[in-house]
Amino acid sequence: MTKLKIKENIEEEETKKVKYLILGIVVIFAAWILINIFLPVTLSGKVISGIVMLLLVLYLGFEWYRAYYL
Amino acid sequence: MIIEVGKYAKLAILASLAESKSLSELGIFWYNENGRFYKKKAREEITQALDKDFLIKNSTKLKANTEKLVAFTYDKIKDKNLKETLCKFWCHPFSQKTFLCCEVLKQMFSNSPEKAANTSLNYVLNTPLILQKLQETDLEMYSLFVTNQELEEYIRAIHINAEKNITKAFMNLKQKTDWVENLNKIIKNNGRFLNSGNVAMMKIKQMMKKRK
Repeated sequence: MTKLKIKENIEEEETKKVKYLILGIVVIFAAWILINIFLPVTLSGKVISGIVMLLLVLYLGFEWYRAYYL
Repeated sequence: MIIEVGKYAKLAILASLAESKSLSELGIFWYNENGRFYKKKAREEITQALDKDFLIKNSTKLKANTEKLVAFTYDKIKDKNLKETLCKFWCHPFSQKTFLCCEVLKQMFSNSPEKAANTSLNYVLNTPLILQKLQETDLEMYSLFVTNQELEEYIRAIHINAEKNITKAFMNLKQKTDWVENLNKIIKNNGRFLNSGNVAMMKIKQMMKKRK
């Protein structure tokens, strides 16, 4: 039986392009917070890992924007 | 609300819901006959439809006033939000080019102009929504509806059209997801379309009841 798949195709595209990026941002952020809470990290370690995390999140955020709006 | 127009005007409206067509194009499209819509009766009916604003004339071509027809069809809906969502959905170029394109509608009526002339616009607009709703809630009823209404070719034509138009109609993924969100809002409206006096739907519901 032929089914209408327009909606499903768009949702699939959204999942492929956007949802994993959002998940990536959340996971990176959560991992950084957990590392800082449970592991004995020095202040400079926190700052450097924070900068790395910010860069990663910014990159993923840009990718998310590009997938959604461009 | 019923749109009261003659047979030829109705055929002209159905064929031009998504794109403009001249009288000879309409004749070739429905009857494979160039002069069919130049007949006196056809011209009178089309003039009446033009007077009522159901059709719009662009130089030599005719185009259905889709926005007005959609608003007219859903005039009885009390829920303002649903009415707005429906109008927004049907006024979107992708919805029009995919579901209301003349080739798709011709498949819906199995290439029969008589069948098309006897159908209400309500049926034309509600069928894709009913299909989507049934597909998500009751697959058995969906297949019964498709078989009963001979909609296999219609669904195939919708897919071909969707693939053709999806890149042109949407600028980005956000617009696509907004369109889907709109469709979801309509479908989630507790099956209003399944109970909207659709004769085919009533028959299938009776069949299902008998089975149980």
